[in-house]
Amino acid sequence: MKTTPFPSVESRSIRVVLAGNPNAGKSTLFNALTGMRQHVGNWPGKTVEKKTGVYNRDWLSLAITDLPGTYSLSAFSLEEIIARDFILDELPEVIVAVADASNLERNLYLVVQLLELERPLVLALNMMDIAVRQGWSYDIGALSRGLAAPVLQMTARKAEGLDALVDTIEDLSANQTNSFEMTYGHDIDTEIACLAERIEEVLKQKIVYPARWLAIKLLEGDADVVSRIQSIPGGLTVLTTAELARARLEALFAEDIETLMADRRYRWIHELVTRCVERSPGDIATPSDRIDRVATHRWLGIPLFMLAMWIVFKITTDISAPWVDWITGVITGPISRWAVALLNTFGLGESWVASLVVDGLLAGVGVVMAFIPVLLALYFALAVLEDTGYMARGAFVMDRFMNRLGLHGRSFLPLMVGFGCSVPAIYATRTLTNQRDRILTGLLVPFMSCGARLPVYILFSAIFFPRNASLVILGLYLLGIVVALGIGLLLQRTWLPSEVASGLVMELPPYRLPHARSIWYHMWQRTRSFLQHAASLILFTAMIIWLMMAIPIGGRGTFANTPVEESAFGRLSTIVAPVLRPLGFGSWQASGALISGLVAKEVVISTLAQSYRIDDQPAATGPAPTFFEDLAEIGASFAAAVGDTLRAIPSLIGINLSGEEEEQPSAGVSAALQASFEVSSGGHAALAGLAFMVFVLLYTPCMAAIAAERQELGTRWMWLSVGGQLLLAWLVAFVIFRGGLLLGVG
Amino acid sequence: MLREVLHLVETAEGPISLADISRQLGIDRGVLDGMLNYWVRKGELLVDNRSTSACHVSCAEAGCHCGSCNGAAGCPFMARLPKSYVAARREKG
Repeated sequence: MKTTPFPSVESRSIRVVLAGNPNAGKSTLFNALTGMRQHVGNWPGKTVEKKTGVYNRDWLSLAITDLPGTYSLSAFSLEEIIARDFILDELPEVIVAVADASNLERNLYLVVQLLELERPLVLALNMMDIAVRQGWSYDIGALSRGLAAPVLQMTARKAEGLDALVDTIEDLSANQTNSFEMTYGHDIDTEIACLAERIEEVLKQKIVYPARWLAIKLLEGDADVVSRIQSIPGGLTVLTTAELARARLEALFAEDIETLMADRRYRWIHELVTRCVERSPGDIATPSDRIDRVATHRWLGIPLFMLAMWIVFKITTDISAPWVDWITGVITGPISRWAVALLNTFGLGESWVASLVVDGLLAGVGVVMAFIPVLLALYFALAVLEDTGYMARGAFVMDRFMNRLGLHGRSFLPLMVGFGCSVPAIYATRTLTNQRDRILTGLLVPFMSCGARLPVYILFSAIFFPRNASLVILGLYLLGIVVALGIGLLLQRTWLPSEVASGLVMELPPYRLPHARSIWYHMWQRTRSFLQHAASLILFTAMIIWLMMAIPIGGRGTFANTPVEESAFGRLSTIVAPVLRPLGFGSWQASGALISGLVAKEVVISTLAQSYRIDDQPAATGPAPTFFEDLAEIGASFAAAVGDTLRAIPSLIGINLSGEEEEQPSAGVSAALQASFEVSSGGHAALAGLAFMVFVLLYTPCMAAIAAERQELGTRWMWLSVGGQLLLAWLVAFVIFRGGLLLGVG
Repeated sequence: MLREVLHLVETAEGPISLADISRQLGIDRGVLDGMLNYWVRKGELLVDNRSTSACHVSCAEAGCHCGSCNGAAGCPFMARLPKSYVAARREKG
């Protein structure tokens, strides 16, 4: 029955609430209506923001409350309870349901639930400008008839449709209710009607809530409504009736009633939208959808992702390489000279302090600093992939493939990064959400041959396999992958059993252009975090190695001035050497190189050279460079690094602008290694060389990687990883050397 | 519609995107999001955000007790991947 409580032209106020899904433009409409006449506070006893405001036009005043954005009124979240309670308890005269016109079907779920609260309601189809641009068209009349409520088209952002909305609110305020009644199907509707009748009989005068709405909520088993009814005299009778009705419906449909009713609501809305809304065919597939047809294609998706990862790998290694060289050069050159010069002024230039500073402290700092360009390059590439939305596609296409190996799809990323550097690769296991996946991937990463091992392969293959050097190097990379797969399968059958592959639904975001600020933020945050965590450990380790090389044992040397073979390090190498004898490289020089390789694989070659007393550096003939000459050298090498970086960019797609050939090993190193391995292997130097390379491939990458494993996987798994890698490296090298001897190869 | 969505997720052999389900079942993508959230609320699907707890476990195991960990959301190493859902039954095995 329509009444007119305010027939005169006297000032009148109407209490209005704005309800709607998040991002439907509710706040925009609220701001457009209330302007500066707003009050922002919290809902009583809640931390959810409450906004109220006033709209005035002539004699009309709207007291507007902006309800929290919700997708439904299921009383599941705090926002839903606030919205529902406010409408039920405060009985606003009009509800303005704000809906995103281009996402109407989803928005209507809340609208239907609001209509079931039996308050006067107007549906504001907001953001019409965008919807029309996207090709949507609406039969407003049919929609209005279907909802039994007025429907208005508007664009709150442009203040379009506000007057019509206010007029409609004014008209609706005369009503006490709405005439909406959605059908849930004959059987459910019958139960709703019977239960509503029972509620009217038993709870009449005791509760102000609409009986039909209560019946719907009790059938759905709404816990909040059940507890409210329980506390009312006669409520238990109603609850018993509701339970019986639920039991009847569940027996009839063999389905949970809440699900059944939600499903009916979705179907009813779908049918209404199908009748009332049309969209242009061009809008059905977005540009992102069209790209995804290729990017997530069953067969093309994986090669494309591998290509993307290859580019990440190339960026990590090739782009950063000139800067690693530059940093290393600056630290070992000018900065070391300045440090020595400074120490000279205090008379410490020839003392162990100089050795500590240059060979210990600065060398350690150099190792840490050398990681910075590698990490910045890696995190740049990753941030671009993440920002564009492609990373999600990568995880999506790799999930199926990696599942077959007992790994998560996202494991591919750390494994690929492992070809560049094990340290960031181990940190990259954090992209995995499951601890078991993180541990398994973290254990496999070290088997991916990192860039620092490559110089060892190049040197050894050039010496021992000059005709098939490239093939040997490729074989080593492949061997790493095969071993990782084997270990992965072994671990998932033993300590890390594979979990059942889960049905995964992934929300693939639209593609977009990356933002420079976001990329820089992530590059810096991640690199800084690494430096904070790993730098101290790397420095500490470098100092320990220096100390071992400085302490003389049984020789004529003094502290920090002793031949390597007579240092604690050399003695330790001598002790370890017999363990390596069955592998064909049981000299103390080889074992020393491998021990130093635990610090960083970059130092394996230099340690060998040092051990064999080979100095490939040209002897300094003139006076030491001046401070300004050093500055000029830093500037010149910086410019060279910039040039090398620019030249490296085309190489990402296989174009080599440098035209340089691979560096050949010096005759001194070649001869010394050949002779040493001939002796240690009993005349099978090539086999021993191959076994040495395999050992380098499979044993612990470096101290920084161990630190990363400890941090990411925990101490127990770190020791297992280190022990397992050493054991495996020994076993595989043994099989290669001894097997080769047995087969008469080499 | 709701059951069909859940069935599709539970029986999927590998990952499936919202767009795939939307195409297969003829359901609007926004509505589909609402349906998936319904099943999350019912406990049939899990939102794949275990990273938060996993991150803390990892840090604790690694002996990192500096108190500076802001969890997955603040972790600089976490890849920014979109929301995903997994079937609760299959996850439990």
